[in-house]
Amino acid sequence: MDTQIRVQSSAERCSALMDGQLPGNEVGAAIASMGVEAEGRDCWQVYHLIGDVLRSPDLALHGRDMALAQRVAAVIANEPVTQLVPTPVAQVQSEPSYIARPAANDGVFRWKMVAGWASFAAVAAVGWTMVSGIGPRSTTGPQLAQSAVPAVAPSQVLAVAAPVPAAAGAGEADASAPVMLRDARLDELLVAHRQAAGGAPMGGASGFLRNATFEGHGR
Amino acid sequence: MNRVGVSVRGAPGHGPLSRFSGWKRRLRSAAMVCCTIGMVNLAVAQAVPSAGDAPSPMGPHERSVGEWLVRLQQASRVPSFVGTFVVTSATGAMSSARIWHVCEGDVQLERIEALSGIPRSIFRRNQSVVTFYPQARVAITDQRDAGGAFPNLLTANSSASIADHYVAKELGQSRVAGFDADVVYLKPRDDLRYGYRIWSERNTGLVIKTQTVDAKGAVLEQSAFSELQLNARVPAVKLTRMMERTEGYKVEKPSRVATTPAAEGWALSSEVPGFRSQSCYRHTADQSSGMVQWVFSDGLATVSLFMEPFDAHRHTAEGVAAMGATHTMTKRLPDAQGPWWVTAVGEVPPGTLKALASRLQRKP
Repeated sequence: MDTQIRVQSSAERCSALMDGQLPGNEVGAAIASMGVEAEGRDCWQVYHLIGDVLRSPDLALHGRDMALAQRVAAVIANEPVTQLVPTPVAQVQSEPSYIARPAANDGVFRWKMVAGWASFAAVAAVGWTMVSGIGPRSTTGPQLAQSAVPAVAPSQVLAVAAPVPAAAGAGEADASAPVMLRDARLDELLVAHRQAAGGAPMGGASGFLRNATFEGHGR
Repeated sequence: MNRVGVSVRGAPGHGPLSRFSGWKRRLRSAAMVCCTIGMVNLAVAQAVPSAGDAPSPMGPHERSVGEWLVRLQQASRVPSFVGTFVVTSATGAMSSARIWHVCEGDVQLERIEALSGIPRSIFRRNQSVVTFYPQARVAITDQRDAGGAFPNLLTANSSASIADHYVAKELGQSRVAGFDADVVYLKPRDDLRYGYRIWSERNTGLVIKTQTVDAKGAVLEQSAFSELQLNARVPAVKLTRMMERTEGYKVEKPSRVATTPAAEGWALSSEVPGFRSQSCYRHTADQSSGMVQWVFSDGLATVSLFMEPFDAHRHTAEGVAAMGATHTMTKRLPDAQGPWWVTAVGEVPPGTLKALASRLQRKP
């Protein structure tokens, strides 16, 4: 009888926990007890299975591997502890041309005019879509930036590039193949361009306001 | 499509009458020659005699490109507005800012609080611009060239040049940010530039939305007020005080000096239709290797050519990249004294960048 009550309450607690209805002070205890009680774990798994199947009947076919957690725990326990050694520097040195290559917005290029904006341009979500040309070389270009930059200027640059296949035509940007490139150098030039451009000869929603607002462009 | 008579449009078509007379009073006190639509049209007649159909004071009338530009530009002198401004590009990037704008006499004041990206406040008093970065405690002061955002720029000359390369097509009316707007499409006459769809507030002409459109009709970029209050209370004195409050900030200036293409040894073999040389700068930051920036504009679109000595380590990738309406093109330029690296940046199709960069010549 006693056990029955306990199981029942454990199942109810499990249900409430899943629904996010368990009071905050009981959440820790509920999770802890589920970690040691097999019934609690089974209940957790079964309820989730029910939820999955209700959401998508296909999931019923796969069922749930009740012993998965134990197996994972066992594997982790047997895992040899490996020392994490920072090796990227060695990789960078294997390609000499990278060493001499400064971060795109490192001191060499950092104009005073963009001093306050350099970090801004780097952090801003600027995505350049490659239209043509840069593709073939970009496997060395932008990706280099990705590996070299953290070593040279760890705090500043977020130059991240996806592998860029060359687009066939040199025409308009092809929206169907949105390959994004982040290039801090281009962003810097864009800032200089916007500063010098002034703006289209319209007030209001144009020119200056657009340039000032479009953080993606580093303004 | 059918235009309402000009004289009719001068009257307040909607909105509280008191508001209208309020700004008329302020206009008069500021002794400004603008904003009342009849006068704008008068100015058009004088400024752009060549721009086609002369404005008839009565009856339906479709504005020419020149008339539209004058109207849009005059509208930057509306006494005041407050709004939320959103810029989106076809690549999905979106930015927004809160805008305060006030115009008193010849002085335009603007405050822009960025709502996305790195926190920053930008203040503009006519051509003077101060950008505050509260986190870095840096304030950058700058003088902008008299761009289109400012009065007096639109000479008959530049307006005629725009009319040579764009046609105005009125697309009817639409509602943006709670205001009725006239929609006009500035359609390019060739494929060297993009088109612009412009939503202009009916009473004031204020541009409340723009779209940059490519030859296939796809929208590459859009700027719009999502919310706008015309003639809101914006105390100019307060904005000026905020702009001058640089205590606690490290004040920096952009390090570039004005120069000429000839002095830097650069020339174009021939002109790219419509794109005329606007300005030229030499960037002078610490070790920035004497980069020269040459700016071209056709009146609406702008292109910058950046020239710097070629560096095999940095300048690896020639090609074209796009971000919404903005394109960049990088190119190595051989020269007897050593190769150069040219980067072209502009809100134009890639072909225009190529046309300009390919005409670039070294003439030391």
